[in-house]
Amino acid sequence: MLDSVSDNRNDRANSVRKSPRRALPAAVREAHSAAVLHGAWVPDESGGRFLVWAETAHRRSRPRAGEHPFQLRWEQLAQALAEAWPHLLEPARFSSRRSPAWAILPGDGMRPAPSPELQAELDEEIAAVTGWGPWRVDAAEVANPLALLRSPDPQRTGATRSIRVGQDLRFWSHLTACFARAVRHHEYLPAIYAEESNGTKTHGNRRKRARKTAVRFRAGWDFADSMEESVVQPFARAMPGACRALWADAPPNPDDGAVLHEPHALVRHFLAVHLDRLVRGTRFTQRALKSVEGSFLVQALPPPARSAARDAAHPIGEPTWRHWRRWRERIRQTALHADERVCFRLADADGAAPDTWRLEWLLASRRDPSLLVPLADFWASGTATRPPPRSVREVLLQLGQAARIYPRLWDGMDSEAPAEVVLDRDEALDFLRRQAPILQGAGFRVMVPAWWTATGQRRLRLRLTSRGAGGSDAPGAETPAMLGFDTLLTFEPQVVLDGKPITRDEWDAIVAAKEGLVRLRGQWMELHGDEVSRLEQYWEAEAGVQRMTVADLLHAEAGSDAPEVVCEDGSGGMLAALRGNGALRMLDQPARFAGELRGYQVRGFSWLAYLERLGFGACLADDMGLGKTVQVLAAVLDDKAGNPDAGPTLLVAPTSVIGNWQREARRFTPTLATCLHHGPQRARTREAFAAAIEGTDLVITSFAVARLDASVLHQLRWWRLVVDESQNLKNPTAAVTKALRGVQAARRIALTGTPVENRLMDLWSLFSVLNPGFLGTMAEFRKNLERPIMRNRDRAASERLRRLVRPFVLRRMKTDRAIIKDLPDKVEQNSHCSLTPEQATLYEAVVRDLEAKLENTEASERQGLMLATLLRLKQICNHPMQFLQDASEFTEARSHKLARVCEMLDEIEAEGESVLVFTQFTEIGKSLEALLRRRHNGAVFYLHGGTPLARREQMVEEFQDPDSEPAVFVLSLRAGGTGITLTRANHVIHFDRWWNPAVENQATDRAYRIGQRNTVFVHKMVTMGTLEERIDALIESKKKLAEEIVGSGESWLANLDNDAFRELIALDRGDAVVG
Amino acid sequence: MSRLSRTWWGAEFLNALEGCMDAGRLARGRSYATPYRRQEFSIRRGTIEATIRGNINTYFGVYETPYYRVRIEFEKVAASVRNAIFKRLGSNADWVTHLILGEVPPTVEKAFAGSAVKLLPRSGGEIHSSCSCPDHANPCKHVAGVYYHVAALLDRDPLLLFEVRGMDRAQLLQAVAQSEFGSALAGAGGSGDPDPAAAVAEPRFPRVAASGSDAPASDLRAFWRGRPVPREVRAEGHAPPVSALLLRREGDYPEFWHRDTSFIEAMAALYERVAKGLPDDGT
Repeated sequence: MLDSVSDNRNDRANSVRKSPRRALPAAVREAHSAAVLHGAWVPDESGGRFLVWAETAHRRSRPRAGEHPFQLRWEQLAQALAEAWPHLLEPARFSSRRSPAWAILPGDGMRPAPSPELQAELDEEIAAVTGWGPWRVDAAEVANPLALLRSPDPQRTGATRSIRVGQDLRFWSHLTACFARAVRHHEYLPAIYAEESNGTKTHGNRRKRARKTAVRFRAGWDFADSMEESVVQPFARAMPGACRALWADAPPNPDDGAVLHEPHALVRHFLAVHLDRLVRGTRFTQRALKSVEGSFLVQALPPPARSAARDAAHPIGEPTWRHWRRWRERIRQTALHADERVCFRLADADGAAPDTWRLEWLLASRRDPSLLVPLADFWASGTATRPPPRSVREVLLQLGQAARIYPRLWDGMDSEAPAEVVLDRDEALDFLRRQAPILQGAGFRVMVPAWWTATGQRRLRLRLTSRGAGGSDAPGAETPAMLGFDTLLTFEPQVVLDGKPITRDEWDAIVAAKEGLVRLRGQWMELHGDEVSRLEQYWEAEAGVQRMTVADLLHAEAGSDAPEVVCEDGSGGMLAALRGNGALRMLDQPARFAGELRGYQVRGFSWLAYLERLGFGACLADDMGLGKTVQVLAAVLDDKAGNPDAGPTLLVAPTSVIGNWQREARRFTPTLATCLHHGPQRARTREAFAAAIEGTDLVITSFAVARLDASVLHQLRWWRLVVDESQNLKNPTAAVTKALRGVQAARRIALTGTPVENRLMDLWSLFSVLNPGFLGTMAEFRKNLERPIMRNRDRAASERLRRLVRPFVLRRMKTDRAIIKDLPDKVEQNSHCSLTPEQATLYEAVVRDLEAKLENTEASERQGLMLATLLRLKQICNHPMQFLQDASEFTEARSHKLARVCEMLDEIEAEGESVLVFTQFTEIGKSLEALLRRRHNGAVFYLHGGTPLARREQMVEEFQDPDSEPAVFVLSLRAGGTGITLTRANHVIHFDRWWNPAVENQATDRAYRIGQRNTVFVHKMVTMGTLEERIDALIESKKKLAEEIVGSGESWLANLDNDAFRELIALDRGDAVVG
Repeated sequence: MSRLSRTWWGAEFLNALEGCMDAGRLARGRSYATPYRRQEFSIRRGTIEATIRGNINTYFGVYETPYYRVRIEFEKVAASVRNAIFKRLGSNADWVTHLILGEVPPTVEKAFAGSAVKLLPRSGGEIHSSCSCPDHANPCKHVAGVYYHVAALLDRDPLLLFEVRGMDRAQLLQAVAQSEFGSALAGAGGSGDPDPAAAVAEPRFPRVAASGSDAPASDLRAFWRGRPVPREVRAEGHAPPVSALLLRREGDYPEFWHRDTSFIEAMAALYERVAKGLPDDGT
């Protein structure tokens, strides 16, 4: 229950929560109109309270006196919170309680100004904001703000469509993340605070009492001083006013100007209170509590249940405070005030004296860190430049503190001019491996030899030279043998360093040292015992050969501690190309490919073909707009040329794009026999299906049908399986994933526009279809990779997974340099879609209606009839709702075009990009805006002819603001097609087509203009087999003449004769309809 | 008190005493090191004087609580060699640094080369003690109690060891200050004694005052959205390589810590536990 501590008198609220179905109509209505959540920290006597309140688009007609006119009242607020964070509903973790408050908000004197998030939902707006005003709001006090602020953003989790999170609430989430980081990094200290005490002192002797003002001491916690610069200041500067605008009691008079909490102190206060509460709320083990018994720390920890009164009986005395205080001061001093900072530099021992490693001490100036003075020089400087005592003291203090961490430093201190300490080889190793990172962590600068750094590191490598198996093909050569995961490879092992084989003498030196620092070929390097033992077995077996499967090899290579495999030729060469460090041979564009592939597309299709020939499943994850479809078609065509007897490829895609596949296949690979397996008339038995696909090369079907007809599809052996939009397979237990896992295919390709590596189980699920078994069973994967990475943030594990997956995923982004050079500044593509049966029925009815009327219409009315028909057909292509005008549902299921646009918007959002959507119809603009508001996480704007100028400017400004979130901007073609600059968008979608390409281009130019730094992708939605496709063809064929022919409107169409017009609008059912 | 001294030099001091006298007798004085027993205590010019509360003992005819005067004097370092010692002290970075950090330098005896008297006593002859009690044994319980008290004081104040050897604190600092490092030691006293009354101005939770808005009311962006927090501020960063790194540089057993077990280890355990108690961030 959300509000476990709620006000019991509030029966209405309780009934709402107990049975949401029987909630009061008003409450339901309000809860479902959009709401924006806000949050503020309100300091008070007992620390402070985190309050959440909300604005709503629903404006109250009769607000209470002083009440915020469009706030969510308590009942709805509680509901909204429950909806936004359903997983927090267990009262133990999270609860909230009614907590009325005053909000100081900007406004026009009559009303408060809505937040930008809410303004996007409103039609009207405040004309001029003139000042501040206090408003009563129903706020909820959140019992555990850390839990709430660390929960995922409800807009991202998709928990709710109608509730948005204000930037002010997000601010606290960001601050909480930094708070949690500091806690995880132990960046805070126990503290004792002095407080004025009203009572008389009960201890100490008489003289003392007379001398002192009454002060008592209280234990607590205190963040490290470095937090001030790294967290407090940046956050104080960034804090939105709304974060500091709530007051528990009647606010100070706004006319004073003193209306908000002071941001710097508020950030510190929030951090301090939460640190204190977190520590005191932690359940410590008895052992931990016992280990601090008798110290003041006891009073900074949760009190043991039975002795809460003990604190009072054992007050912290002034001497303890003094001791703590000096200790705290010393920690602070070196942290902040030193001008000179002591650094340590380890110099290589030379070959003649391998046990003489000088750890030199230097001084760096805080002002100029590049200026390094050896301490020896510092002491030797003459009397004139003799360092001031303060500096000497500072240097000695720092050295002493460093020596406390690394006591070996004391040995260098026994000197008149301490400047270094000499380490032997083992000590040098210990210093490099353990002490240096600790000293660095404590704030000392440490310089290590180049060969120790990640980039300069030298490592023994195992070179496996492949022999025989797989022939001697160069990478990507004509017909490499099928490799597959289970192929046994034969290798000749050799131990190499810096590319050259290790000699017998060198090996003896390595084995003698086994672990630690060893000097080889005139340079030092680090040996790992386990690595040496592993290599030893190869060294001994050097004459012999090694066998392992490809899968084992890839797993071995992925491990960070594994020796690196260097393959030089043969099948090893294939692996090199697989790993991306061998040259992939570019294929020629297939002869029968009707079109021109861009450079990166040739690379992509060569890669697909190559992986396929080796027998691996490949995932092409290029950004949307880069043309994954054509790359796959080229790969299929190329393979067909080499294997004329190849069987059919099964292609599975979302229903909304199977028409597009059909169209693209026909356009680019007309020689491939393609068939669609879809709709109620499709073949359902094995025999009928086999007959239907006889002789075809490409069988296109949807995810839905693949799931329904799984048993039929499983009975055939497919030459290849292609899964488009493979993010649909992210659920490993979903029926569709299981259905595709059961498809027998020798070759597998997956396509996706969204990154695959972000959610690990999604990745496993994809691979279970693409390369079954390679990532192990789900349980194995969870145990070995997912848990370590997600729970323990295990970097080695995540690196291992990255390396495992890398050979099979090709992801190129449109911002990659290599891609940019192949891309024009503007890429225009048609996105084909089909009609749903409902749309097709309506379309045919309109066409029939026209046929009947056309013959009997007067010439004067003929034009009007034609234009009306065009309008209707366009409406049907967009969405049945637009045509029917019956306020029926604007859902994706009723229009493939809408479904496709929504999918594209999802991908664009996933890439963190912004997009413009143009339509010539205000009904569509309005409905789209409403739909996207619900299903889209980011901001949604809608600009139409009726948008007031000021609002228009504000929307444009907000959309363009680089600091704002990526957004969708829906524009009416007429109102938004000219004048404004919207270069933040790099995608433009034309929801419906206009006859005049110039008008479309002008609209596109809102994004494609000066100030645009990225390639602009223009997606034109075209419904196949309908007038839209013919309009498109017309525009394409007569582009140059378009201006003259078509003018600026549709009137020219009416000049077509009846037959020409019929042809223009006829429905080609074969192309157009997909069930 | 499970251990009588928590620093190595305090322990060494007691060790040295045990070597100079009857260890059994010395041990009997432990219970005389409490504040209840100790009525007065002073160290003037290196001479320790104290008044110790004795026991009523009717058998010996002691009917009222007796108070015994104890006086202890260590053999002083000869004035002639003091300056040489100061000079040596001041020219060794190790020694000065330890003193700055409030510790006795482990190798400090080397500075006493050439002096008949070292820092720690080596024979009973170097210690002259007297007590007004009837017990003639040496040390009596009262003297031994004072020894233990001095050892405890040494933990906090390493310079005391020099003082009882006749090397006056002010003199030492002044003399040492003549040398390169010594000047640093002279300033080591810091900014004086902290004053609790002044510290009241730094409360546990900072006071949050009301302030005006920097931006005008019409700047709705500033009010509702603020400015973006730079990404690097929010970056996760690397976890430090060891626990409780922040307090490690002040060493273990800070002054306020009276336990015999490690402060750093106790803190590390607390830190780990608190981090575990953070609510999940949903990843």
